[in-house]
Amino acid sequence: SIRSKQITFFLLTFFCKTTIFCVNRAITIHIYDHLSVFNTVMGQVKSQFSDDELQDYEDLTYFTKKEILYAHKKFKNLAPEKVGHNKNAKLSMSKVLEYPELKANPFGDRICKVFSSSNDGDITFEDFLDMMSVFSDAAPKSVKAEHAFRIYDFDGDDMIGRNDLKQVIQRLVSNSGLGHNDIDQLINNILEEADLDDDGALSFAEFEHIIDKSSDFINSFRIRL
Amino acid sequence: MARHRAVLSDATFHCEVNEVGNRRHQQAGGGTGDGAAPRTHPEEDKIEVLTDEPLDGDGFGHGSALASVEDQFQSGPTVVGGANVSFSQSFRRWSSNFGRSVKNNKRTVYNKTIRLMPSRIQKTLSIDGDLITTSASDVDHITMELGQREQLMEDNPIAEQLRIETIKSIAHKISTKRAIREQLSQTVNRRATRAKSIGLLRRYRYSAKLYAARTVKLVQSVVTNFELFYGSMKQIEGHFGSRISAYFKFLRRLLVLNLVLLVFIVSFVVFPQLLAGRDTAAGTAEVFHLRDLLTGEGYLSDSVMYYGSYSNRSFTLVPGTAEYSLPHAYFLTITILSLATFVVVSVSMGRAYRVSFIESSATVQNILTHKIVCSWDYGIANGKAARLKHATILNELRDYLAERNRAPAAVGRWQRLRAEALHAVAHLTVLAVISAVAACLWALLVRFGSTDHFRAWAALYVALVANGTLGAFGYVCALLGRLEHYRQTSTQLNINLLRHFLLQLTIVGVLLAYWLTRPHPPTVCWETTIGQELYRLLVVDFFISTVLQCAIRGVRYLLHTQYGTAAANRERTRLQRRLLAPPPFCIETHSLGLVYNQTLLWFGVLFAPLLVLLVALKLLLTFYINKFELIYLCQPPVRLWRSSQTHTLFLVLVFVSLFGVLLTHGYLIMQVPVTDTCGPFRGTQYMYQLFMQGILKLREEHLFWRIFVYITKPAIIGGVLLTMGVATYYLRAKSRAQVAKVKLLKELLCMEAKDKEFLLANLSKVARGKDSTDQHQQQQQQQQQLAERIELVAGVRLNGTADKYYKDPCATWRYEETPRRPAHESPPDGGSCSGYQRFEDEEQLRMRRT
Repeated sequence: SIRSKQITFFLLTFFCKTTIFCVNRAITIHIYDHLSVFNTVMGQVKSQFSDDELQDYEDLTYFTKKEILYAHKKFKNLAPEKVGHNKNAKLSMSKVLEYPELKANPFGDRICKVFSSSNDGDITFEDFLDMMSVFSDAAPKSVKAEHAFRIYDFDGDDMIGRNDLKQVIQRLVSNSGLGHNDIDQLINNILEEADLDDDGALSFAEFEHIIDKSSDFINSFRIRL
Repeated sequence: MARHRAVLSDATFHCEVNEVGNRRHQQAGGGTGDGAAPRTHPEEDKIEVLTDEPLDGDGFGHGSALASVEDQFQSGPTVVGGANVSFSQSFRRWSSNFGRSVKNNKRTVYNKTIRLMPSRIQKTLSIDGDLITTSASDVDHITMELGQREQLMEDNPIAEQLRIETIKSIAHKISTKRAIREQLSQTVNRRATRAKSIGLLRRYRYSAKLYAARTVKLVQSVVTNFELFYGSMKQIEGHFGSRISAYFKFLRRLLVLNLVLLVFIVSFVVFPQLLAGRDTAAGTAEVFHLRDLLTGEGYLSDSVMYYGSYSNRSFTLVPGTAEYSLPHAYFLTITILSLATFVVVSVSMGRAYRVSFIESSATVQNILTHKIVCSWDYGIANGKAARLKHATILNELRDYLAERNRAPAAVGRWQRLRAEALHAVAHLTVLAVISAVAACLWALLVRFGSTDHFRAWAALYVALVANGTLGAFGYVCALLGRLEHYRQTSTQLNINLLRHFLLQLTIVGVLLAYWLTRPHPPTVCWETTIGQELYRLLVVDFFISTVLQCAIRGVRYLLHTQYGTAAANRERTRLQRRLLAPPPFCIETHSLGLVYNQTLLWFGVLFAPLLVLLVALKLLLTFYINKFELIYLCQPPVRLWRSSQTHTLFLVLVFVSLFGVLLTHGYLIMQVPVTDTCGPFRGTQYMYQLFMQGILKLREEHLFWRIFVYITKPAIIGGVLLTMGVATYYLRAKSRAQVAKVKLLKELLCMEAKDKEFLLANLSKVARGKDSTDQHQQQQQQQQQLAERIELVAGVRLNGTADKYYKDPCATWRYEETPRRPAHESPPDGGSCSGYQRFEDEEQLRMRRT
């Protein structure tokens, strides 16, 4: 039994050492960019938010506290000095559109306008958090559908009309390639398919009907923080 | 007529009189809303009909009223005065729906809340059609409505949780949500002082639920901290979109699954075996050789890698405690893990199937709208990827238009027959190829399996041939696919996928059949031999399908950068151009490879528990190699439409293979005698006997014994099967009934659209006719009659509830939102439509007469 105890001791120490070594390597190699970011964020920004504020944001969005801090870091990267002074600073639309996902998105300005609390496209941190929360994995389809509808509703008349559809298509193909006739035909076909009550525009109910039936929407309407 | 006047005099409303055409044009063109709309009668711009004021003229009053009706129909809730009313109305609708959902099922609250929440109503309050900030009244409204829900307003942790979830799901700004939450909590506190204190039992229940919720939150935050490959996934998603990252997610999922398996197996089987030490009967340990890693022979064959070296003893790990029986641990760990994996895979497959096939079953008609609405991938964060996406969407739309404009090809009987024959020949060819492969493999096995030079490189032949065939088969399939001309690319993809899968199944099946049927000399541990074969297959598969393919892609990429420039491409033939293009990244092949791997692993885990470690390492390496390929070497695939369905298909394949593996395992455990000289089960004839001995040791009166006997009675099993059959039948009938109901509701919607069109047409006629003053009297009469008729129609349809709408004018104006009789009460042949038709004819006659 002495021998077995020795072996046990040896193996236990060996396993512990191996585990610690592996975890260290793992952190430094492939979880590095994520874990270390969160940890440093916790150190840096902690002073800017009190615990109550974080709890508040956690209750109102689909994020955990660490994700909120991470989001703030991303927001701060857009304008380091301004946000450094005032954590809830208002950034202009052109500044916010430098965020990579929004920059590549043809609807970037619409997204800013929809989420801006002053409705001119300027974004505060709370608006940014709101935006990221809606685009996160945790947000349900219905919340996403609601905001997608607002994004595609360019003239704000609560219906996606022919003109809205035209703008959507033009932005999707980046203003090239399709002639007016083609776009008209596409719009006609869309309305033929989806406009259930034949009033020449898609209402929210009709839009939601499409989204509800789509299994790809929730995958495409998503921005990883 | 008197009644109609009562409507007008009761009402206080604003209305705008516009030319219909103008208005519609305005809305379609400028989008600035009513503010700048050109008006034909500025003096009639806003007419307030107050309660007791005498009307200056019947005709005038009716005209404006009708015009306002029409206005409502035309533009929805943009009229300023009506906005509040419509807001409260739709809010009432929402809250009633919400209440129902709360009552029915608390869980659905989360899903239903926003779905029915008319948060976009806030826009109806806006004057110039722009988005406006939320007003304080909005907050009050929502708070009030939420305050009426009992479940939300109780003063206990569950209600609080529910409140938080509800507020989260309101599609408003954070500041609004905060205000709502504060008001709600104030109300709750006020009520709580009045409420009685809760009982002890209930308090325990609440605290338990609260702790559960907290634990979930903690786990969530831990998971977000340690999400595997976070940075890589974001990079892939940013460069190539979510469709490709679905493959990497699949890979990551399998990796996590294998890591979980690894943890359990190491802690329950491998670690105790290491502690117990090797059986003294085992031969001398061999010297480790690097070659052994590749072949799985030599040093490894005597290690804990394989079944053969596990002990059949029971021992005490810590002196004085109960014995640890290794055979039982081995048997239970592996069986339970397999079954648990099976459950997990089936559940996730069921969910994916529901989401991508059942819930989206109606999308077949909505393909174009999907292409528009869901086409942009919001995760794209890279200029090049965005340009590629634009081009892809443009191509898709062009294809769609081209197909739409092309006259439907005259499909004669002969052509169809020819196409069918072609497909049949292709299928037969594939089947023949697969059978040939199976026969060759069998011959090869017989040739090399019987000879005794296994302890050399020759051991790798079989694995090499099997994996090489799999690789080559891909090209054959691609060639066949091009000849077949399927109309839809998705069909072709799926058929290709199934063929590949069939080949994989055949190869695995042949190997297993050979290994299980060949005669074993009693001194050789056949379980270990099978484990070694599987080990070799996995290793060789890694080198062929990952490393070699990566090298080929690298060479192709080099060729492309050296010679494949656009200028030089013109003089080349098609084959050369295809060779010189950057290699494609084929998600289907890669995913199938993963499924193949996993099948081998699941099968082999009984014979070589540490195979899990090998596969986990392999998946880790594959992830990085694939990422490297994708980013630096390959061009992203072009056809990726409806990826979630493909993903579901993969899950189904995983399920099928796992099911097959479980069946085989069942056969092995019950029917195949184990080797006498090695492994944890030596001493028994079949594996299951060990478990049965454990049970038989129990006394007859023991509870478990009785339960066991009871469950295994045929009557019970038959009863369970019967119940399941009945349940399936019932659910199927229910789903069919719902499909029928959906159809009925769609018809109803169509009819309502016709109603609306009819009313609109008449109203616009009236509005146009109002300008001519010389026929004022006649016009007036006509309008009154028409108005009466419209009410008649509405009254008939509402069947007795019409009286309410004389008191509440908004209800009449919001025609489309008034409650309707259910569909089955209306005549099935669309009688109402024909009725309208008749009215319209009369109207035309009358117009012609005047």
